[in-house]
This record gives sequence, C-alpha cells and structure tokens, in this order.
Amino acid sequence: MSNGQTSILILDDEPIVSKRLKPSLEKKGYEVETFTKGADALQRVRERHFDIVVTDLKMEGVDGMQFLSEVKEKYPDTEVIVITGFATMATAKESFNKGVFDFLAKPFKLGEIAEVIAKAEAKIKKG
Amino acid sequence: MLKTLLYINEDLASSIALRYTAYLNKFSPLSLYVTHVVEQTEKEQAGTGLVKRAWEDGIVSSGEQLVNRMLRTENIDCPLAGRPKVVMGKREDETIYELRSGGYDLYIEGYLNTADPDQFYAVVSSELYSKSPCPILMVKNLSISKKCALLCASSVDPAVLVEKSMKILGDSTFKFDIVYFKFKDAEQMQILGKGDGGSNLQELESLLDKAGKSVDNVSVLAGNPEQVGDFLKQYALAVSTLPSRKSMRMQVLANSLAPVLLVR
Amino acid sequence: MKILVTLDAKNYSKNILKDVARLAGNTLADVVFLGVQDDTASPRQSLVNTLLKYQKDIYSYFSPDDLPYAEFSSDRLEEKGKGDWTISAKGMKEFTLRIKSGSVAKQTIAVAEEMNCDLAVLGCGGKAGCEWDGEMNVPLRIAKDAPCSVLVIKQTKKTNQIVSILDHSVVSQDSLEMINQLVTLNEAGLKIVGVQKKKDGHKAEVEKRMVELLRYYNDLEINVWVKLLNSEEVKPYVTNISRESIVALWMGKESLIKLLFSQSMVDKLLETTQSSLLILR
Repeated sequence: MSNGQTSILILDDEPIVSKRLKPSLEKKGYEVETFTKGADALQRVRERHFDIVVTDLKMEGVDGMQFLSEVKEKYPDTEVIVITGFATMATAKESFNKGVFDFLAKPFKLGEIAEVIAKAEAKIKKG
Repeated sequence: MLKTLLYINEDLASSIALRYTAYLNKFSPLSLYVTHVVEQTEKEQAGTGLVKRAWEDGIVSSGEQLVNRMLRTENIDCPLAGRPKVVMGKREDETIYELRSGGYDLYIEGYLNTADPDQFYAVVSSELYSKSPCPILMVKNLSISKKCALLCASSVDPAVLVEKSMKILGDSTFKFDIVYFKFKDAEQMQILGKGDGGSNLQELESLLDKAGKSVDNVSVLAGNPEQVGDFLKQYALAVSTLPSRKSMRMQVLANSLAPVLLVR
Repeated sequence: MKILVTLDAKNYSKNILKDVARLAGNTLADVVFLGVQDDTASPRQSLVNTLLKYQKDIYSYFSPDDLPYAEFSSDRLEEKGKGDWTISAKGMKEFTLRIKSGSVAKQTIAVAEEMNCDLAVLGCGGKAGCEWDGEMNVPLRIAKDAPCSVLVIKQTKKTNQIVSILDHSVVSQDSLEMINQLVTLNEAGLKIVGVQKKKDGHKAEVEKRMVELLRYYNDLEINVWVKLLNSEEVKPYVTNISRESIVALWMGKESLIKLLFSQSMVDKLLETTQSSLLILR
C-alpha cells in the first residue's frame, strides 16, 4: 500500500473485463494495473507487490491456478480474488485451499466485485 | 503434403473454413493455396479494350484485398504455399479449371449447416462437385476432435470409400471410427450391434485393415438423418462417398454438424 | 453471481431445488429465495415453513465443509417494508429468504431489479403448462420483463447440449458468461443457431455476430457448433431440440427472436419443451 493507496492487479484475458473494472475501481481511489496475458502479469508480480490481485482462472498459456499459487507464495499477505466464467465446485475448493480471499463466478455486477475488493482492503488494513 | 485449394469469401463460412484448415494442417500437413472468384454480371461489365482491362484489374485487385483482409483477420497458423489466386468469372467454372490445371489433392470450402437438405443437395449435385478431379471438404464447423468418422451405409461402396479417403487421410494422425447408418424414424436414435451393419460394414473393416488402419470404434446407428448428423459432431470430419441422389445418407451428410469430406 | 429463485409449495418448485443447489454450489452465488403471497398483514406461516424447508434441502446438498452459507440465527423474518419480510445469513456467501405480497411475476421482477441479480430461476409445471397456482403465465411474464437472464426449469434431467438461438441483436458479455456457466455446470456441448429472415438485410449482421462468437469461443478453446436457419424454420427446430437440450434465447430489445417468439410462442415453447429455457439478457 503506497501513499495509503491500495494497489490492485487485474488479470483477465478478456479485455472487456479489465476495461469495465479499471475505471470504476480507479474512481474509488485504487491504483489499478490490468493485464490480459498471464506471462506479463507474472512478470509484473515478480517486479512489485500488489495488495490485491484479481485473476481469471481460464487463460491461454498461463494457468490461473498456477498464477495464484505463485502470487500467494511470493506475497502471502496479498489478497487474491478469483473470477471465473467456468466455475465448478472443484475449482472453487482448489482456490480456497490455495488461500484465495473470495471466488466470484461471472457474470457479476461491478458493485459485487467492488464490495469484495472493499472487504479484502478492510482485512489488509486491519492487518 | 496435400496440395490443397481453399476457397475464400468474406463471410462466416470462409472464416470457419480458414480456421478449420489451419487445424487440419496439424494432422495432415497441407501445401495450401487460397482462391477467390470475383463474379460479375453482364450488366456490371464495362467498356472494351484497354478500358475493360483496367476495369477488370481493378475488380481483381479488390478481390485480392478481400482475401488479404480475411487472411489478416483470421491470422491462421498455416503458411500459404503461393500467392492467393484471384480471378474474375463464374465461380464454379473458374474453380474447376484451377483444380484441374493445378493438380490439387483436395479442395476445401466453407458450407454453413442449415435445416434445408435441398440446399445441400443443390451444392453436392452441382458441376463443381461432380466434375472436381479431387475430393471436396465442406467445412461446416470448427472442431477440437482428433477422430474422423467413415460414414458407411448400404449405398456406399466400401472400396471407393477406403481407397479415396486414405489418399487424403492415410498419412494423417487422425484416429478412425466407422459410423454405419440405417434409417429409422424414431424419437430416439438407437445404437445397434455390429452384426446389424451387414456385409458392407465387414468389407469396410477388412479394407481398412488391409490399408494398415485400425478402427477405434464402430457404431451402427438406427435413426433419422438429424439424429445421426448430430451424432457426427464429435468428429473432426465425416468421410463419405459423394451421394448421387436425394437419399437418406445425403440427408445425414446435410445434417452433419461435422465437416464432410466427399470422395468419389 | 447473484441468483434469485422464486418458489411456492408446488412440485414444479420443489423439483428444481437440486438444480438450484448445483448452480449455487458451483458458482458460489449469493442466493435469494422469494415467496409471494396475497396478504400484506404478516408473512403466512405455511409459506415461511416452505421456504425454510427448501433452505434446509438446499443446504443438505452440500457437505458441511463445502457449504458456503451460514445458518439463520432465528426462524423469524423481519419486516423490511409493507408486505415485505426477510431473513439473511452471511457465511462466505449470503443466503436470504424473502416474502413479498403481491403478484408473483411483478414481485420477482421488482426483487430482481432491487438486488441487481444476474439470474432469476423458477420452475414450470408439466403437461398443464406453465401456470403457477392462482396466476397465469408467470414464467412468461418474468422472462419478458426481468432485467436479468431468466432460467425456467421445466424438467430436471441432465442435458448434454445447450442450443443458443441468436439473431442480429447485440450479444452482451453477461449473457455469454451465463451460457458458459451453464455449459460448465452441465458439461454440455454448445450449439449456436443463427436466425435470419429469408429476404432480409440482417444476414450479414447475423453472420457477423456468429463470427464474433466463434472467435470468442475459439480463443477460449471451447468447441461450439454453428447452424444457420431461416426464420420460418426456427419454431419447429426449437420444439424438436428442446426435448433433449436447454434452449437459450437471446431476447434483446431489437430482437427478431423476440418477434418470432411472440408471447404465445414462448408460452407454447414453455408448454412443449421438456427441458429448460434460458432467456438471455
């Protein structure tokens, strides 16, 4: 959290997701970086810490589960929120086993994810 | 490598055909050429001599742009063996001419699946299909399957089916199933025993064995053309002999959601 | 995802609980169970009991470790407004029971709007058509006016195919995502059927939509099958395939399908279909 601003990385290979989320979250005062390619997001995570990571599970090239494992391994205090268009009980379970903060199936409204992000932020601030 | 000619237009059928061709290339390497014919009505023709020539060049150039636009948009992972062949004239005549003069092994075109078997019959009984020197692959859908179906029925000559289809698919890495079709108008399609396939099925299996191809699965299906056509969607393509009349097998091919390779 | 499920005490409601549990469990959705009654004085005890029983049934589909919802602290619904009572429990996800007074269709649409839900689900009777007790054309009226996608579950048998009927109208990202969830949930194949009028100017637009969808699914490495129909072929086709498939209809404002499937047609479809119908928004 630099300058008191909560940093968020969003990874979804469908550009429309980031396009919808980024402006709405920035309006709420978050610092947001968006990625559509898992490899680029992975590279960025290796360079710097994010308070919150929002990631899709099904992506070309990089497996979403693998990405979330790497994020949690490197920064255990980063809260990860999984969003997926192909939800199953098994993927939800696996995500929670890997320590995700929440799991949202698409479609969802902006308000819903904003609420989850606010909760994750509150948890981080609480320490 | 199969010398292949793919027809491109600027529509959904061609979009599917282009992508499917790139998929096919993974299983059976293709030496791929693309073609487009700019069809003009007499009314649209202009002038004589140099004027006409300049006008024709312009028309062909717009056809080339169309092909390049499609190739750019679809950006398929399958290199072209030569420049796109864009000509002016009647699509059927020009395509037959190109297939004959170019010595192609395979012709591919997109054909969208519809509910109208007459429309399908009109295409497969056209001059292009009856005069084509090589088998024709009608691409109806994309696929992620690694299996092909040899579609057999009492009206199919197993010897032609095996000989001609193996010329195209013999060296491919596809796995093979046999689907034997028997017409039955019932609410649900029935899967019968192998014995119900009769002598044609036995001959087909034996010929495939001689050709060194093992068959993964044999399905003898009793159903209507729509049910069997739907069953075929699990395959990367269904191979059959070119139907010469409006038969139930023709209707199965019309209803097939999988691409159809027609040999004769 | 937020799911609104409208229920009453009839079998067509009881029978959808398993499907709702599967949907809620796989998508970890926030769920609202809505019951509607005539009187405004207080929540009718029989309806409260029915909804509480349904809630227990839903919870029983989960193993204790997997249950994303909490138990209610009491069985009493609090008054939220006139003719409006509710009780909620927040676990990892939220589960709410709500009772409202008024008409089933109107209240379902109102709650769907209020909670900003992504999917409204309801059951639909068997041979007798889709009439709910005491109210005509409930699924049809909800399907017509709900602000979200609507899933009408007719028969709870597993289907292996979802057939989406598409015309030239815009396909929303939400509707695609809803289809994807149903494809995943049912481990089903997806067929996209483009509809065009025989002589119309929309042919290119329909094809354009289909190309977009094809690219979308191709990029996701999901196999879809496409088919093109003329408008007059749609009704017999849909009636035929609905025996074994979930039928999904895109019904945007400009939709040709909306015109084709006029009120009576959707109603007829709901009557004749043996599976489920998904109206996409």
